[in-house]
Amino acid sequence: MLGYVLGRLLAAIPIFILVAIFIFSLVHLTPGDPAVLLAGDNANPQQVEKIRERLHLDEPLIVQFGIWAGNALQFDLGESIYSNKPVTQLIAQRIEPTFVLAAVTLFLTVAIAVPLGVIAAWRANGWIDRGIMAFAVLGFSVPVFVIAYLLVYFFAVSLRWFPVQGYKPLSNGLLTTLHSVTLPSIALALVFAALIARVTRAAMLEALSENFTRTARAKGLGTFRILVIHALKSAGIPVITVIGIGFATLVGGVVVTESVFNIPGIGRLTVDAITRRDYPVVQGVILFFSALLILINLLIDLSYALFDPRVKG
Amino acid sequence: MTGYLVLENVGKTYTLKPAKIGGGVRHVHAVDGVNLEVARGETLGLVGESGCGKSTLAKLIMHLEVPTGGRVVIDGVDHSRLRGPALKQARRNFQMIFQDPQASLNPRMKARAIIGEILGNYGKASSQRVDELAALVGLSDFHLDRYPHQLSGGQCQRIGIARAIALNPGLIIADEPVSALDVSIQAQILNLIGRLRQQLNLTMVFISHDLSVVSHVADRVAVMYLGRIVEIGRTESLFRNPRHPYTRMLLEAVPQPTPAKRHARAAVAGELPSPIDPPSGCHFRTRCAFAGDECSSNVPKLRPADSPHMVACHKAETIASSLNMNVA
Repeated sequence: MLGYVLGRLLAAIPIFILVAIFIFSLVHLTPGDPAVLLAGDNANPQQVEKIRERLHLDEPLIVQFGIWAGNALQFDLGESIYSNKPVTQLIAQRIEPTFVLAAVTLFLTVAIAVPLGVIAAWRANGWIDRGIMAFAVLGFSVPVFVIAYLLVYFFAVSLRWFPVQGYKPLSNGLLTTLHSVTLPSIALALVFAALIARVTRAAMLEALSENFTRTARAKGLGTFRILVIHALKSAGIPVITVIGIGFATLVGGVVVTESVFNIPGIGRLTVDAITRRDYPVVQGVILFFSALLILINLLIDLSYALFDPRVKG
Repeated sequence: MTGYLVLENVGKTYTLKPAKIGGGVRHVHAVDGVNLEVARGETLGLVGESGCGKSTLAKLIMHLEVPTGGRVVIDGVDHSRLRGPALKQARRNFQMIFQDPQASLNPRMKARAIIGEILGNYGKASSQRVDELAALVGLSDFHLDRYPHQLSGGQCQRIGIARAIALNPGLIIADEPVSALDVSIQAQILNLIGRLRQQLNLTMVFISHDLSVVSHVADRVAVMYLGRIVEIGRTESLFRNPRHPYTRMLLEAVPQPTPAKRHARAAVAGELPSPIDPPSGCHFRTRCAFAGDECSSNVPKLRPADSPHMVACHKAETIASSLNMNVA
């Protein structure tokens, strides 16, 4: 098992290096001189030259990459052009709302999608199944922001159960925070849940047609035990994989949702940085999300061993 | 004779969706009015080609499928109408040994958990009993702490057998229990099943397409063709003196290992017709050399040939005398 974990960890390193190279190239792939770009429209040649020197843009590309990667390893991602604050500090300030939003969304998604998928497979082709799948198709056909505005209209504007927008930090208490992220989480979870429910149903249908499921019935086991202990555990791998892949989509959804609900998270930071052409921040955020996704995929790989004893190092 | 297992006119019809838009609903008569009795402690062999309804019949007895007609009575209880907790309690009394031993075990559970689960399900969880069962089927601690994929087919089947006998059932349905195993392992498993049958006084339905295996274990043999039982009798009687032309065809198809014993035989002719639209009257008439008008108009009933040997064929006597003439 330890060997399996180490192997997976080592395999993540080259992926991360590739991602780093790509992010580094971002500034250099943009048309025009990065120094001019960074200096802004009203800069004089001296200022451009200063920036060029400060950012080592006069060095060969490989050296630049070395300096940049070395700094990144020490959690120095440069400074924001707009606010002159360190990028790591900006990310750290914005991480809490995004993390809470993603965690609540993930929880809601699994809590909604997995039971729905299991029930749909159990009652395959019946009206319950059709109903759930119709909901699923609707879920990922409607864009997040449409669902978000509908939720705001009904539950915030009409019923006044939840705030229209904004985020209350955890320092105000967990319940207050959860109350403020309920609507954005539901909006995101509905889209995500639709995907997971479909995959759960498909994986469950396969597991339920396995011979060992028939054995479980012959043993006289109850429906719940057959569905959850025997079938769902065997359907777990595709489901957990899609949850992981879906997380990448979720990141995109977070950006939109944070804008709709005016939540000061990393998504907002990203959107603002892009509109201001604040390249160090854009680079930093992308690097952060990449590292996060690599970490999540690593965790998923490791979780396979939990679902299937045949997976090991 | 009141049997331990009694099947009364048991049928299973599957409804298929129309093959094309506007087409009619079609029915598959997988099992068609089967009557059977198996006495306590007796082993009935059930033979027939693939697709003849053997496995469906096994599932009906096991209540893995619900019959669309008739009654399945085990030890005096008609369990085909049972549901919920009553069905769960009834299940203790009938268990199944499956065809593909590896696939029938959950790959995510160790052997110990697989055997233990059925005990726990009936509130009888006991590691001592698991060890006892393992010893009974010739497995040790070493095997119990392994996952199915770490064990051989034969070892997996021993786990399947241990699981099946865990609650001391009266009836065991063995659906092709050795067909997935190597020949050398087949003999071991057959001997194990035979030994347990005597030790535990099991009533058994043993399904196989392999006539030599059936002749080895069964007291009586029933031959199925397209959902119906066409012949049933004591094993020796049926093998020595088959009355139904289909049984003859099956017996003649058995490979003979000794070249000297080989002689010209009628090969199995034709294919099994579709159970969606079976031939009228006698289902076998399309492959039968002796078929006449009567065979297409009337369904032959099982009737005594020489009691207790029963056959469902209008022409049984004609066939018997014509063959005797050939011999003479």
